Amino acid sequence: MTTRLVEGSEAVADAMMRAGCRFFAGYPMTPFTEVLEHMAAGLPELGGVCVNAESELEAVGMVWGAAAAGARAATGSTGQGLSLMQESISEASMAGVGFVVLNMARGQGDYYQATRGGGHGDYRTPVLAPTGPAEVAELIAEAFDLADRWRNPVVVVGDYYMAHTWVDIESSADAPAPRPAPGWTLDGSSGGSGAAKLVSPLGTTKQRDGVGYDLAAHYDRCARRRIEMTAGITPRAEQVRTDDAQVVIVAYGTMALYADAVVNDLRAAGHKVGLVRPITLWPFPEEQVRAAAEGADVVAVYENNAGQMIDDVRLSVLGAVPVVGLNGFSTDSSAFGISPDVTVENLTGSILQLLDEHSGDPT
Amino acid sequence: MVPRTVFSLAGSMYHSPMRREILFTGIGGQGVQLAARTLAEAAVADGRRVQLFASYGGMMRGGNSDSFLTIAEDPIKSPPVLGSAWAAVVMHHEHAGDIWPKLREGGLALVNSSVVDPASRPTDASVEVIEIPALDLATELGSPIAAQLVVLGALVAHTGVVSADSLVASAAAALPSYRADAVAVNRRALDAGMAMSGLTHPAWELATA
Repeated sequence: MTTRLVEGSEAVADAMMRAGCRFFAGYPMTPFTEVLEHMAAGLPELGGVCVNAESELEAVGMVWGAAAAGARAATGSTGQGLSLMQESISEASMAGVGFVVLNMARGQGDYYQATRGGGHGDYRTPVLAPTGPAEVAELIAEAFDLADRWRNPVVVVGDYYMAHTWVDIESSADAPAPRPAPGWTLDGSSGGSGAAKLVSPLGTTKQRDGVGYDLAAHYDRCARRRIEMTAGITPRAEQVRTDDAQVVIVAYGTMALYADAVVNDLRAAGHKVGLVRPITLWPFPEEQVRAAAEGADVVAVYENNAGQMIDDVRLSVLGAVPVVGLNGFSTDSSAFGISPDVTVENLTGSILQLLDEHSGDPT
Repeated sequence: MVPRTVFSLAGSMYHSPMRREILFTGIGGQGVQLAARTLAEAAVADGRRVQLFASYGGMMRGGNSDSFLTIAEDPIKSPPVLGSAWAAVVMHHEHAGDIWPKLREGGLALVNSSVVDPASRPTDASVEVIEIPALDLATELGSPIAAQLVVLGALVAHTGVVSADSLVASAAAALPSYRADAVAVNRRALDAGMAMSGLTHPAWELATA
């Protein structure tokens, strides 16, 4: 193993290859482009395939084809590209095909897209939001495991800051061998041979009379699998000094790194401030947020959009504590989600103001 | 409503001997990004943990060029844009206004005094300012674009934040092959900086330096 200084997007690519991803397709868009470049550089040496597709539509189509044929596969883009992929993501979910979708987002405007999705039908996708290189490696591996376990697309959310922050990672020239193809995946056996398999959003078997799929039975199986998946994934969150906090901040991804610094600074100065950082955005860590809010004066949702995750926080707190949004920040001229307003200093000021406003409240 | 609590980032728990944050500021073309990358690579070679985030304008020369570097002995959990820092390398005053208040009490500022306006200096009197006529020295050595390496050499001489060997190696490795002819003069610029001082502000406990 050697330690290398790499850009965050290379750490993401390295983690995917280490997790056994051997098929990757995408179309360039900042800040996803560098992930695609690093996959293109690394996959051929591992016997894998990386395709610069004609568009995001083709990329996700190739990826669910590769996954249906047994590969650990992934695609990605920014939110714009994921908009184009929504139909395939929902169809793949209905077909029981798992793969990983990276949303290297600009800002956090894609929270709703990631956690609800824009495709049709009764589907959900697990969503993981890592921060820092160690957690990126851990959660990307977990995303592939979840995609295999639940045969469902899994979204991993990053952002411009993550893609462009340089970090040291441990890596070696070779990556672990990919897992063998699951038994349900297509292996080239043709119809009539007795060994043919069927992977389709319409069903996994034809009706006995051979006149098509039993859609009602299939959708029922899909719904049951989704309910089982929802219950089977443990929501995760990091709690920072929430025990006796008057102000509880809720933030994910890079925004949580700012909140973490502010909580540590303010605690050192004697202020009762805490942080809940959702790690799974779906399923949302409702119980952790509710427990942290208990006894607090106010919950502040710090997100780099005009207010999206705040809805999930309100659903968690259910009116027990006031929930306010710290959001609506400006973006710099690149429009890549870099906000000049997102600083330790500004958040410190906002939290001190909340402490002042609530200092007279009975607790 | 009680009065707004007075609060200073100088109380940051991140002011730890395990962690050193260095801010770089200048304008495009001064090699600010190269200097930050060079120091970051040297820290990795020394076996320390590193986080580096850059912010720069979309123009070849003259736009803001800032870097935020954290070097630590333990895994780093930090926002990309730092709120407070232990040291700063200031190559130009144009965008230094945001940098000065971030320096903690007793911090260190290395200033390219050939260029930086004398009116642009730290807001906190406890910050030690080390004036380095880096552009003049680098010009004498035959490479004005190596001024940032003079400052980098001086930072390492004063603090030992990375080892001299790692710094020299990473400076050579940082250049693309078509810049190989600059390795020698860059080395002279680093040496000029490193010769300016002994260890005055050790970054690490001496046992681990």
